[in-house]
Amino acid sequence: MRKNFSRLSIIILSIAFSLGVVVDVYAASTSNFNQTINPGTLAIDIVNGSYVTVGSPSVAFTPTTFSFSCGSSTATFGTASQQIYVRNPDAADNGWTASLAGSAVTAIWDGAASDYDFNDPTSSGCTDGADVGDTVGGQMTVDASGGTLAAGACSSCVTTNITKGTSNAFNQGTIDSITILTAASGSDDIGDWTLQGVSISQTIPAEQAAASDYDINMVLSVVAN
Amino acid sequence: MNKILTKTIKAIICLLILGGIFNTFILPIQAIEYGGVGGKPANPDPLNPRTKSIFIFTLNPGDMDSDEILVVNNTNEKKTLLVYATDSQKSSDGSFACEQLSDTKDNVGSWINIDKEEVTLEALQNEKVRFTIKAPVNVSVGEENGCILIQEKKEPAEGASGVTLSFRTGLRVVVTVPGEQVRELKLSDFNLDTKDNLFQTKVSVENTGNVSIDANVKVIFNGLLNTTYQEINNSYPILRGDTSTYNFEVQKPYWGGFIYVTTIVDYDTSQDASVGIDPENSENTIIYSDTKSIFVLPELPALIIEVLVLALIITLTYLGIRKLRNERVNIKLWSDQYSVREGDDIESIAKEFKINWKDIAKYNKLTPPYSLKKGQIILLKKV
Repeated sequence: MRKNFSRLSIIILSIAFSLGVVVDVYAASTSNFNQTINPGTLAIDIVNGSYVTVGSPSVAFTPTTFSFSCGSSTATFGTASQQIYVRNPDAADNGWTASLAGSAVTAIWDGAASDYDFNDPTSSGCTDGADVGDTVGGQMTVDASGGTLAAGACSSCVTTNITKGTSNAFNQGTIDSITILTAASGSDDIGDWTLQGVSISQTIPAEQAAASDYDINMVLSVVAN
Repeated sequence: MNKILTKTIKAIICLLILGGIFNTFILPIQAIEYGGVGGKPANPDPLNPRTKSIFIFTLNPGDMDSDEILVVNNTNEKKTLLVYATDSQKSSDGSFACEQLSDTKDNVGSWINIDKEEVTLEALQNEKVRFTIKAPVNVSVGEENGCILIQEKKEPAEGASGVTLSFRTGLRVVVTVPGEQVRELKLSDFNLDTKDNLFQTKVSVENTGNVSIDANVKVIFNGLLNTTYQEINNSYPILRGDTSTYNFEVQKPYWGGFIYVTTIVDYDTSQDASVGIDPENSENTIIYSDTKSIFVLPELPALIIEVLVLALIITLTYLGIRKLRNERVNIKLWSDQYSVREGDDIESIAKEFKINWKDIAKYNKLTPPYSLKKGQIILLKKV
């Protein structure tokens, strides 16, 4: 009997401890509770399916082979594992614009042996024109219209009043920035959204040297209006 | 038995203790949410809600002002952030965008002087960075726009191939030079097209004034009898000298039919209007596009239902007409009057005139027991 009583006491004490740790935090009358909520900021990023930032996002273009004629390569920007992610925690109440641009208007696809351009419209990107800063052809087209826009982690958010950009090609001095998404003032002030399936097409000039090291720096911006 | 009970009790105790620890320490850690890097105006003007998101200045030529940017690192890592100003530029559809760090500044970007070019912030920290803005003495009346941007500093990747992405958050900087505002918009293009099961409308609005205008762009899709099928109603800032293009997509009507589409742009032309301020004496100007019409075929299931309903209506109409026509013919046929004589009943009359007694009852609206009175006039079919 005494043994059973002591066991019962141990159980009750254990329950009290397990709950008590939580209860004490809320019940202590002399504690000072400190809670810092950092101000939210409008931000754009590439995240995985769990909304965790992808450290080194990649945009994979279809491989092409050396050709004597002008060709093209395509890629999908924004995939299930690398989603374009815009987050507005009440930081841009009158809308915002997400856009893609080269890191400079003179940026190029840079390779060790040769280069090609991303914003030269001459002969639809097949030859070099009078654009400043380089002597190579090539043009990149970005089309967000066929992409899939969805509300992100915020369960009550909607995509209403957010429109996807249309197909546009970079053209130095004329189109240096291509719209991916536009949020009107009526869009959710607090929300997050993902975009997948932005089509990118790159015109590659004829006889472009075969190489696997071509790279270009691009900037994804979100700007409060 | 006693041993098993002791082990069970011990296991329960352990679980409860672990549960307590989990509730107390683990759950709050899971609740922390990270939110990237960026910035916002540090000192918004309570009288202008727009200043929560963007910087708005009114400067006479040669005037200088200052403010602060709150640079925020909401990630779980220490970050070094570049803070810089640029001129604004028009994105592909006319939306507001910012030039790149490497671009030459010759407008508002060059008027801004930021105290720090780089800010290093621990995880979940923020810092106010002061900047000054000075309008040139020769600046003209109206509005100019620029940007302040926050971008994570990254060393160029060695030997990388493909697209290397950088991310940045921009804040619009609006500078208004006082004087006579010209607030004028023009609806420069309005197209209606279809793609798959969507209507695609393209609306271009040109700002021919000297200040930016928040335009309310409304696209109304009406069906027959002016019933509204869909309505898009959004407000967009259109910068001075820019043409902004908006592409709206609307699902085609499932049941098909004629659709009439009109665009309406309205904006405030009051001299007191400015970015974020709606004056009490607002003067609304409305621009209407011409109305475009389009016929849409219904979806296949809807088409099948519509054909069936139409066939039913046609059949019922035909049957109705036929019945009416028969009735008219019968009225003409059943026009001989007969005065009922002593000893007549419905069967004897039918026999005498070789007519079915049921027809006599039907056309004379006689009900059981079909009794007739002497002298009663009934109609009989013409022979």
